[in-house]
Amino acid sequence: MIRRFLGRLVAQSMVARLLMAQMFVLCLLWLLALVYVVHDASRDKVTLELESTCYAIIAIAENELSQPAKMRDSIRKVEVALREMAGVEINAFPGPSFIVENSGGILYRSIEAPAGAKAGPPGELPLFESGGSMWRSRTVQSPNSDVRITSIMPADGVNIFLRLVSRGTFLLPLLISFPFLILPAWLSIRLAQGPWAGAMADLATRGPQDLRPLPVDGRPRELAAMFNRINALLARVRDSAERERAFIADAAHELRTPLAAMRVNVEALQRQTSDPRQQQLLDGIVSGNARATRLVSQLLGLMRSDATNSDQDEVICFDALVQERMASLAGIADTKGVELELSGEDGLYLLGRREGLVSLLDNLLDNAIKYSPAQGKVLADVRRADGSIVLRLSDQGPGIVPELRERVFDRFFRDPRQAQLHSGSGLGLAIALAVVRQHGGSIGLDAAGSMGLCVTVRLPAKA
Amino acid sequence: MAGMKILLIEDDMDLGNGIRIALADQGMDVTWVRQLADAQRQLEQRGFDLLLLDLGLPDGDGMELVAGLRRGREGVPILILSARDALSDRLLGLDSGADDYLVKPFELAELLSRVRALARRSYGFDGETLELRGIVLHVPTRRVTVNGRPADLTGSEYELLRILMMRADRVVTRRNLEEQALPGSQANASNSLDVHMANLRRKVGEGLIRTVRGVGYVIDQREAGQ
Repeated sequence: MIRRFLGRLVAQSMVARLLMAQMFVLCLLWLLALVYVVHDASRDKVTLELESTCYAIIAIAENELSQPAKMRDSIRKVEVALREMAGVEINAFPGPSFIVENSGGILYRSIEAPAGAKAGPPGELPLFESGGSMWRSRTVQSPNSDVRITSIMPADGVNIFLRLVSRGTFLLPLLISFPFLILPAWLSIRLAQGPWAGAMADLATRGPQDLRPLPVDGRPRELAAMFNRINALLARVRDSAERERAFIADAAHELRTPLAAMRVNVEALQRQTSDPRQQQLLDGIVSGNARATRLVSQLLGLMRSDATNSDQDEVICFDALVQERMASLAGIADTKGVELELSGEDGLYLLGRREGLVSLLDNLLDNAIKYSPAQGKVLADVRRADGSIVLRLSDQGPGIVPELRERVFDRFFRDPRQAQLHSGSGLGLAIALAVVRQHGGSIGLDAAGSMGLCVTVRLPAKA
Repeated sequence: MAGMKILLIEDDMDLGNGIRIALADQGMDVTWVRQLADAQRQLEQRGFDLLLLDLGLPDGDGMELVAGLRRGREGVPILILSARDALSDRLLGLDSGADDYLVKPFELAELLSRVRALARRSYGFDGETLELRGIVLHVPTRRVTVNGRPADLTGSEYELLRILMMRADRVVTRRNLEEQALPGSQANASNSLDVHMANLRRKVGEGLIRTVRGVGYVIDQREAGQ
């Protein structure tokens, strides 16, 4: 569980990762120090260093041989002093203990000395077991008499612990300061990460179509290296998107001549025949041809509106453009018996691309006319509001249910209820959306009164 | 329109043949070539009333032909048929001297109507009269008769009627009418257009000019419902 928590922490945040790395390195250093101390302890220097103590005790024993009780008291005091130095409470840990002997008779035996401890041959460090622990004894012979002393030390972990407590105190500050190190480390990492935040902001404000290279100048070396890689990737994506777009545009373009040929031939044939059944079949070909034609020009329109260069922007009088497009589609509306009407303000200028806006208006008007009932009315209203130019286009058609008002902007998606009644490509609104976005505007669908659809387009007006 | 001599320059077999047959059905005299070089030869040999020109041809771009003809001050009307539908292409075509530009694919009716419109111009429209639903408009004298009775129109009213009749069946935007027929009346131009239009209607008959509210006006060739 801890591992998973750490894993998540590290995966989620670069800061956490750096912090963890710092702490890990610190721990490693600490452990190394520990290992050194432990290794040091395992060489039994403690026992060796007790040599002078041993001689001191021997001297006490020899001097006070005549007064055994006084001697034992003296030795005991030395022992206690020793333990105090080692930082061990009496009886709490089996610290060093002593057995003092004189030609076979025991003069003193520490009460902590483990059972079974006895003198060994001088110069050796025999190991023995007692009470479930390992012990090591060392016997020192007095050079002047036959008094000898055997010091007994724990030979297992306890010894190391003793060693650490006596010798490892320098490690303690590290252990204590460890939690306090985290805050400054975190703070410094955060400060050093400033350029990341700037880069993030740059990336966050990018549109999905914006594949221009990221600015590298003035970035720290590490970030610049990453940005260069990203730029290389962007360039590849741009190239491939460009190739794809060019392919679709070429394909659509190449389809136009055969479609035109089909249309002209069928229409010429239509004028020659008067058989109503043949007329009906030819009508089918003509309408299929019209659909394919529309799809092809919409695909071309979509590919053009996807193109990212905005350097062709020009000042356009939007209300005049709406009027012009309505005039040119008035013929289609008239054959369907649909009435067009335009209201609103004059002289609304914006910066944009005429071709894109034409395709936006044509697609919206085309939809409105197509879904209008006979004798229906399509009403367009253009006016200025809060620095935007707002076009509201409402029809009296079947409308679009609220659940689908987002999805109908998807390419090739069509309202299933309408798909059966009207032919279409499902690209019209996708094109409209692409154009509106490119001009920095918005488009939304609403119900127009009790029935029908109201499309609202907002485009930034020219300042 | 019958007997009109048309040079069709189109390299696509199916499309070229279809246009040839469709125009021949209308009684036009169509010569169909598939290369620029052949077109040049045809133009040297005989005169044509109209050129239908595709742009992407196997031995060059149709624009070269347009430029060549216009340099030679040849007045023959040229209608470009092209799959290039970008605005820049259309403008380039028209700027180089072509008279009209039709994007493929097109409806046959559209092609015929454009051909007719160009033919009107080419047959010397200046000396002709426009006639439509009982209205006769004589351009040189600016005289208008409604069902044989002369109508007394002001200059602006005459211009409005002429523009609408010239572009019959197509909605002419209010803006276009204001700019062409009512120059210099910027202030309150919209109102003044409405006033002129109301007067004109009174003089030529209420049913002739159809309004597309807020958009513009149109005169249909045939009366609605016929």
